Amino acid sequence: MLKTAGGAVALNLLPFPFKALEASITPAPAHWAKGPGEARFRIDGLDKVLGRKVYARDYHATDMPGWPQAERPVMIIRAVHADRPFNGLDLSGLPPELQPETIVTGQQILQDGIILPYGINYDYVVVAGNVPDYLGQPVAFLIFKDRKSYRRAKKRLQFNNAIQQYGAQTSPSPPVEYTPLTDYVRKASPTGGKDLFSYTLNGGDKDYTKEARTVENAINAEIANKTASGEWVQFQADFSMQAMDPMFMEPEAGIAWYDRNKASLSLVLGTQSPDGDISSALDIFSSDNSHNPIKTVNLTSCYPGGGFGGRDKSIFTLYLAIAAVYANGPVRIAQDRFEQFQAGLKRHACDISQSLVFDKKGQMQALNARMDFDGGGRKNLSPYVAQLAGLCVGGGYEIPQSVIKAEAHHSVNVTGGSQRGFGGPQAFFATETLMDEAAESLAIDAIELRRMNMLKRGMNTVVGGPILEELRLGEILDKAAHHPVWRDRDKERQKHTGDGQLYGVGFALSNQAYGTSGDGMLGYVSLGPDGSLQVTSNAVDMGNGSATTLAVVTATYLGRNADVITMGDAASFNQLQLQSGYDGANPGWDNPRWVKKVSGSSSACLTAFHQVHAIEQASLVLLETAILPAANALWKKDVDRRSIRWRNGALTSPGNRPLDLSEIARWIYDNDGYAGAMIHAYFQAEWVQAEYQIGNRPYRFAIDALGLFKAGSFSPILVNRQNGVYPSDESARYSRTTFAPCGNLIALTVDPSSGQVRILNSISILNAGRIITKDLVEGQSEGGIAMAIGYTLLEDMPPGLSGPAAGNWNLNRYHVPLASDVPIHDLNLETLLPLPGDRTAKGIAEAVMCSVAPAIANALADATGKRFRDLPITNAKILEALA
Amino acid sequence: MSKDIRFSVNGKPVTAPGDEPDLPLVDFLQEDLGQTGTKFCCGIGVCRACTVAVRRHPQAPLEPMLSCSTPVSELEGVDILTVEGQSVDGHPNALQEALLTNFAFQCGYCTPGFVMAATVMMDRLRRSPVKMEDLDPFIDNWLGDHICRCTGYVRYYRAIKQVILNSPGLVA
Ligand code: FES
Ligand code: FES
Repeated sequence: MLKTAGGAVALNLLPFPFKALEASITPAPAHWAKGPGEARFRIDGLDKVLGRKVYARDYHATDMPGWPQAERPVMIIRAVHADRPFNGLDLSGLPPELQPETIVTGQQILQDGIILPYGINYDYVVVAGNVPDYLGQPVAFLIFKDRKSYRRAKKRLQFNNAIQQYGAQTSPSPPVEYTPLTDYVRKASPTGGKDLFSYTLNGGDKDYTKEARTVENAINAEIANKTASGEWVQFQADFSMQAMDPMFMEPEAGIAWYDRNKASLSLVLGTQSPDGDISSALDIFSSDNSHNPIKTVNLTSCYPGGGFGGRDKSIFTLYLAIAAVYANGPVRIAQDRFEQFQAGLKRHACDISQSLVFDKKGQMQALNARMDFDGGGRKNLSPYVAQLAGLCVGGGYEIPQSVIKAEAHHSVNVTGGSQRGFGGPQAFFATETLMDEAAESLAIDAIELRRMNMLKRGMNTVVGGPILEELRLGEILDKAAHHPVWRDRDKERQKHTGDGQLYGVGFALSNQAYGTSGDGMLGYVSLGPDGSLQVTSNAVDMGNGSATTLAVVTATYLGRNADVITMGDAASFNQLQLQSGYDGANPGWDNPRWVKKVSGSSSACLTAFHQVHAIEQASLVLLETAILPAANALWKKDVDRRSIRWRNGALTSPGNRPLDLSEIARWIYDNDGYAGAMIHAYFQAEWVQAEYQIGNRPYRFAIDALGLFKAGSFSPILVNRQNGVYPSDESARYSRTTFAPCGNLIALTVDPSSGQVRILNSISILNAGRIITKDLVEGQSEGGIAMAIGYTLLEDMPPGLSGPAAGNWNLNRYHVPLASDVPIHDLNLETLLPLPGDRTAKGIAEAVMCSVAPAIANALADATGKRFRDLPITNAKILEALA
Repeated sequence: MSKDIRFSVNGKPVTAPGDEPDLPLVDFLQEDLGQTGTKFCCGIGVCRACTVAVRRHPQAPLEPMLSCSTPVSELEGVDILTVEGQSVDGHPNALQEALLTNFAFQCGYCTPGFVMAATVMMDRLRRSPVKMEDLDPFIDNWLGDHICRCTGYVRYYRAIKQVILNSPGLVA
């Protein structure tokens, strides 16, 4: 199918600042920048610290120009049984004045031709008579006429399960796997690590699955033989990990208005996937018998109050869209925390059964892993989370033979999504605690064992994908081994003999990937007549600092930070008229408008490398095609490109007078030059590069689509790419090629009488590459460690009705870390200095939490002599182990 | 019809209609006054994102108040201070400036709660300074129950301590 970005979304390229979109447009506050390329504080920070409106929850219809003022609150009633038919709602307990104005049922949604878009496989709202597919599936949307009646009615309806009528219990539906299933089998030559069989090499074969079974059998036979003969040693263990709530602080909320006359739907929300949300919102009303035609979707993307993956393709957006078409005016859904716990995306509960096989010297020979993710009620991104876990379970090691199966299945539990780490935290927990067990049993130092097996450039991952960069795992291991917390751990343990506390130190290593298997990035940089710069991105800043980062990286080529940043703007980029997908006859890369993937969701790990590339390339295009020609004209000669430098906002070249950017901008506006560059870039093992004929010469950029804006114009001139260098088909099966390795040392004490754990020190040693804004990197690391401490020790939610699906969970029973749970004065991050000449900045936001859980578990094993394989490791589990 | 409830928010008199006395203060602020700086997160008095400050009579010390769990019926005659009242002509005050320049917050949703709790804490310190060695536990006592999901708290504590140390007379 050939698809255009955002479907039929109308384009509103608006001059900034535009009132209606102020939630997502941030004019830079005074003094936010230190100098070119440097931030004094977050560009979005002032609005947030002053309590201005920036979050979706802050907005009401009355804030939106042109919207009707009356706003109708919506309450979603959610199924509390998934093993019996839902027969209807009984709202007779509500007095007439509190009755909803409109009740949206599953039957009505079906009748009105609202369809399920790709990847959504269960009804939005349960049709009466059907058994709900999962707990928390909506059974009705209640639309109230005003806030007061909503608030009063909600008091009577929430926690009142008697309003939901059910039939007799039936047998539960059989489990369904969410496809695609991950099946990575690799066999490499014992020396030199050359792949004989792998997913990368053979994944394109018609009968890959059959071939993989043959290789798997051979691997298993060899393991059986060699372990029986004593040549190899096998370590096997089963791990289980609980589901986890992202617990971003702003429960999902948004407003929407369906203007029937104009067939336009306007949404205001905080989402990590504005592009996907727009196209899904269009898709669901696109059937021939749709009663609610929609030609335009306008999405105002607000700064989310936290994300962590929990707002990535959340079904919440579609609920808002559906509620809007049934209401007589704007609607608002603002979930409370109980509702957010009941329905918001979770980190998957996961079971892993794993074995690591070593020869007697400690060289890894084989890995066998089965990973089972509880996907919960909706598919969301579950199979892809399982897929990345399949790569991560190989850790940072070269393993000549591996058999990895990872799958996610449907269940009645709350839906799992793309939480921070995307399967990595689960996989690294299993691999890195098992590594420690192996080290202990083989009597090899735990860090040394890792060093003996570490992945290096030129080797392959368990998927068969090549390591194309210096991972520098050895340096991380060296730093850990020489750190006083590791080196002096026995001395420190002695000190605790008197206080009755058990002291332990643990280490773990992760080699978490960032980005996805193919990433399409969008960026737009424009120059105002006064020399100001505006950056526009479809990316969303969930607090990870992408707005700030993208605002400082214009300085790389333009010597100046952005003056205005617009985030979450998916619609502007429709002007590039990109096409993606395959329709059989479609020439793919030969079509200059075709790109392999237009865009994806925003995750925190996509900023430093991917989004920054897009903005830097757009800046470079502006420099080459607009600023240099203008400067040459002003200098009245063609200067050597290599001689120019930006100094204090002025372009300099030896022997020529400095030109302030404002002077250059004036010339450009007076002489009809280019003042804006909108680009698309695609990364799959490398950036696509191509040539663009502009004026009378070709330019080469690491982008695959380009639109140039003449000064003062709001529509781009599209420049076709030519002579492109495109990724190989095989590289689509590498899984990932970009990694942000991290090692963690954790020192802790355990109180043997209570099982209470106190984390004393956390040391993270991170290969972050080039660091753009140190404070942002450190902040991500600190937050990642706190979140991982919660995951490892505190946060627990059972499946089924004893968990949040029942609708009565809140922070009184779900314990996220407080300051006292985090060693706030002893949280240290060491980053490796970038290698000379290496400008690669790495996306680290997910990587920084992956090695923490196993480091804590390994420290606990060091302290107590007991291995813990089930998360969370609660005080009760520790006490039980010590008993 | 029950009596309307009169109190002030950031020095301005406001009236909450008496017919919804159990309306939580956070809803009144956000929905009736359109002041959305005070945040809603758990709604049950655990996370403290919704913290505002209250002065019960002109000379009284500031007290923290959980606006999600305080019905407007309890507010007759009091002064409520919210994050919107902390800046001066749109400029951050010293505390807010320190939070900014320390990169103390990320998504910022918990920030108004920290700002208001720290404001109350500093009001207490102004009235009775603590010894330097007691400062960390004092801060922990006032802020330790606030939840921030993004940051790991390190920079909040650093920034707030910095402001206290830079404000004369708060540490004995
Ligand atoms: S919203 Fe959590 S304490 Fe008030
Ligand atoms: S900064 Fe996001 S919750 Fe604190």
